[in-house]
Amino acid sequence: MKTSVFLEKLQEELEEDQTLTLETNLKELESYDSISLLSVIAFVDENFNKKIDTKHFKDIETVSDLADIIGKENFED
Amino acid sequence: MNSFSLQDKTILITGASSGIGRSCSVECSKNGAALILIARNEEELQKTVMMLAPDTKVETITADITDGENLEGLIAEKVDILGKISGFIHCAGIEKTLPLKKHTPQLYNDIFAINVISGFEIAKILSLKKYKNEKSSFVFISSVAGMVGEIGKAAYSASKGAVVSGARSLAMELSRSGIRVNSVSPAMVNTPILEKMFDAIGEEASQEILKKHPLGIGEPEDVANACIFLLSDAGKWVTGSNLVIDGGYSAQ
Repeated sequence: MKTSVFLEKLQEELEEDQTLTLETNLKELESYDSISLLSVIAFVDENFNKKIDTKHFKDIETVSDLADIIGKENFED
Repeated sequence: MNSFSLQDKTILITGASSGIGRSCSVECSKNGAALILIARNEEELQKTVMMLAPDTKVETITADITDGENLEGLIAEKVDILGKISGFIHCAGIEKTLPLKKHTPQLYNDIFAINVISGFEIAKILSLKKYKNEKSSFVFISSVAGMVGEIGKAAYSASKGAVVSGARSLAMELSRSGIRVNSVSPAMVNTPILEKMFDAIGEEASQEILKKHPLGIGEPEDVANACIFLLSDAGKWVTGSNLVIDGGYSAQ
């Protein structure tokens, strides 16, 4: 998936008004809470066919951290 | 005789290959019951059999109970061997914690198929004169999620609420046949389902849930003992009830 498409889809998933970048801190987003975490897990599963271990979520601050956990090989650019 | 004894009773248990179903199997065998155990996973089901009290009469059925077509035939075979059935515990069930926007009709269908419909369909079979003893007792494992709200559990809690209310109607309908019907609603119990759920929701949310249990999370035996009470003659005046076994979870 292209990073730009990923950012758009993630923004839609979180129903976030603010445009996301790789540097956006997820935990500081207004819409981000414990349900978002479940949404993001389901989102990654649907789009990348990958189950994220929730233990990783403690280390995820930014969108870039999330992309790292999804795996660089899943991004085209 | 001890009124909690299950001596001379044949009990059918679904979901017997793990968690609460396994524990119910073991505890019922210790109380003298003969058992018909049903699960999909043959290997895990055999592990349960190995854990039963020595000399327990046991028959197993490896089947998907949501595919009900031949279920009556399979149960009939086992009744021929062990005798008519005096009790049933429906433990088979699945849990899913997902935000509402990720729920789909398929998810509701899958959860209801196993948690609700298969249990009531087996109750239908076991209420027939040819398979039931003079007196019988059915126990459905529900959940406190069927009584109180929890995030991400729309389909699961709807299914568990359906179990409680459906069991009440069965209690009304089947009392004339000498069958008592009750449900048991546990909170979080130390089982593979719980581990899977904790993995799915993460450590922070898991800690929050643990904090809501004044007596901590339960062990499968805590639920099995409640089932034994309801199956045994000690519970002979109890029907249409929902026994909450939750370490205080729903008291607050």
